Amino acid sequence: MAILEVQNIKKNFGKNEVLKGIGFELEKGEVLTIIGSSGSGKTTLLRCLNYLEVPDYGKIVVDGNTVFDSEEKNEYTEANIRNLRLHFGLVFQSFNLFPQYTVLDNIMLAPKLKVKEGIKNKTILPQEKNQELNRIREKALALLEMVGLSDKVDAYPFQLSGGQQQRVAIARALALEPDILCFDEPTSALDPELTVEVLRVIKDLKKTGRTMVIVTHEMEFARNVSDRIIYMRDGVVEASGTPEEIFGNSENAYLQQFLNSGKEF
Amino acid sequence: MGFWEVTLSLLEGLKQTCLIFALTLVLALPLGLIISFGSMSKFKPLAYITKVFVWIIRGVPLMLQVIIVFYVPGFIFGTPLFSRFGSVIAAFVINYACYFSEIYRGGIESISRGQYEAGQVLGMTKSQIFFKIVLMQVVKRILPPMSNEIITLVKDTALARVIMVVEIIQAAQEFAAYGLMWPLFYTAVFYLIFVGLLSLLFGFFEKKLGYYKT
Ligand SMILES: Nc1ncnc2c1ncn2[C@@H]1O[C@H](COP(=O)(O)OP(=O)(O)OP(=O)(O)O)[C@@H](O)[C@H]1O
Ligand SMILES: [Mg+2]
Repeated sequence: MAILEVQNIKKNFGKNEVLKGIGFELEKGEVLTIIGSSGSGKTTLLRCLNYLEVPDYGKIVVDGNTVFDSEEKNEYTEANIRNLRLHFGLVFQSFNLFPQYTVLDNIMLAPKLKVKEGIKNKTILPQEKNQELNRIREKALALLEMVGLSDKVDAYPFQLSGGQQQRVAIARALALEPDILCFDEPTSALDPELTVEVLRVIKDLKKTGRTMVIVTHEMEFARNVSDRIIYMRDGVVEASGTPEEIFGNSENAYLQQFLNSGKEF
Repeated sequence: MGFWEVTLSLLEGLKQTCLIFALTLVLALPLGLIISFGSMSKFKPLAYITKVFVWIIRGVPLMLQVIIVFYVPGFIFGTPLFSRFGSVIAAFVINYACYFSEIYRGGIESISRGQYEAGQVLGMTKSQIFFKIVLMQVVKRILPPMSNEIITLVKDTALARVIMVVEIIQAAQEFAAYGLMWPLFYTAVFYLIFVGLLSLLFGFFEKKLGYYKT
């Protein structure tokens, strides 16, 4: 069964129809890449998955649980949304690390706050607190090792390169164990040599069976890492398929034009 | 009239100066935050009214505001609303709260939306985002303009004498009636020490928060 089902998502900003009925499915452990020209709605789609925007219409199902349905008129309270959005993680184009915290504290902040809340709601016993905090710390250190930054544990974000900051941001998102990790152009703020190290981490994640949705303009990377690719144009899925199907597609004129536009330079 | 006699008399005035300073600070700091929320409100009429209010208060000399608060209620109601000292505090608090509100607003608006969104996607509550992510960044941003404004407040307290509240300058002025001018210049020493201590304090805080950059 698909881990993620997105059905007919629509989103308007005022009169501007940005998403006009997006649908796709994703199997567990698969990597889905979304490509498309600027303004086609890729970021908006990711933001809808992460509840940073509320879709006007459609349905989102994760692992058989409906996490959003515009037909059901149940209230999406803040507490409700906070739980539902934890199915997803999001890595931003601009990293958005917290500048006042060390690398390790950036990763541990949210999990620690969860423990605090757990104790308040009595889902975690007070005597379990230290054990929980140790577990969080171990996990954060393991994630930092995975992204190759074990030596930066106590550094502050301003002391890191963009590529290093983005790898910390990936570790931070993974610390909450999301079912699906989303990336919004994770390398477009980076120099080419820093891009490589971030893409390598994403490839490693794929090897460990991580389910991911990646918006990118790196076509070679999309071809190598994806199980499926969606080409978005003007708020609709214009074409979708395996990398071979997308890059070998000669029917869709828009897709052709999009894929060729990068090659001119 | 000897040096010690003058010093004691000026210290008496300094007490009043410090009281105006401290009361203004304690009341205007929180009031300024409330005003800044008003000016950032999504409810447009409130934001608009607040901004016009801030514009008026910042656009009119503080000295005039002190005079207005003290005399105008007397003209209208036949009896003053505040004592002399009360009028000074009322005018100072309103005036400084407006200046502080603009500093708060600048600080809060300088925090990028990405910081809030990063907290949101990590499942944090609004208050966790404010207290754990935003607040410290705002404090760091507003510390330099705040210290400027607070140092200005030290010297603005001298405006109280326009309605005969005896702060340190007025205390010195009273010696001038006996032909003594030096006490007036002597007050500068007290201001310099006061401002010097504040600068050290703010320097300490800025250094404390200087361990990271944005
Ligand atoms: N908060 C918003 N308010 C109004 N319009 C918005 C908002 N966010 C996005 N849009 C509009 O939605 C459209 C799609 O934007 P989106 O950022 O999703 O595109 P994108 O495919 O991610 O583009 P890019 O490749 O440049 O990142 C654009 O026309 C944009 O102006
Ligand atoms: Mg985008």
